[in-house]
Amino acid sequence: MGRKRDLKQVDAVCREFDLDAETELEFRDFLHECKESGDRGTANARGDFTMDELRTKAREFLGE
Amino acid sequence: MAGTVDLREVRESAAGDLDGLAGFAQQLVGQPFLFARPSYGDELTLHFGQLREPTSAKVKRPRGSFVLTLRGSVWQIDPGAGSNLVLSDTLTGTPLDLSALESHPPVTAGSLTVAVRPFADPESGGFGLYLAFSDQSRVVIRPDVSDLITEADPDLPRLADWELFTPHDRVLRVGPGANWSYTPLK
Repeated sequence: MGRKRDLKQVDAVCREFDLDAETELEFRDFLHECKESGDRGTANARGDFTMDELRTKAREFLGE
Repeated sequence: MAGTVDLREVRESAAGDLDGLAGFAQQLVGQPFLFARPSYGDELTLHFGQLREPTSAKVKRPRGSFVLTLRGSVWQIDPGAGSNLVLSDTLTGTPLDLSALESHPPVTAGSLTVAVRPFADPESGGFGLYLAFSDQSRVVIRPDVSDLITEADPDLPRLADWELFTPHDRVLRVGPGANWSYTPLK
């Protein structure tokens, strides 16, 4: 596993959902704010999100 | 010789053009530093210019009109008058929670960006970035080569080395490698 895999996973999900650059920037902030508020993922002890959780978060962020 | 840079121009793909990259990066010169903030995945982001409300109602905090994201880079911040060098990767220093840089910014808020110099990074084959501020602090960003060595995560897209989001509805994306682009935000 490479470094910054969590960032790469977010990039991959942004591509799946065809997010433009500004929406992608805000989606990253949204994920960070979710973690800060206690809405954490299950990928690791840091509370990062799995790919499926990121897809769910993307739908939530986009209001789908 | 005097010249101009069209900040609304679009460059879809540019490889190895350091002068062109430097031209687009100059728009950060003269902008006040606002704050440093971690984003998802412990990515440091640096904010400049004027405060700007997010377009999404799902995001609470404002950002700068210019946002520099340090994606696939290693970095160091020399606070100038301060005594603590801040490093993204260190084996010997004191571990640092990035949120501490938000509450105690290593660059004085309001300091002007006085120099912005992209440079060819021989180790990665990509481009780094040097920033200097009016409070004597400095930031150096260099592409992280660890993934180049290990060829990690072949199932995932490679990260840009750094990005500059601008109020001119453009994002300057640099890396991986010597590739960069200057494209619309939307």
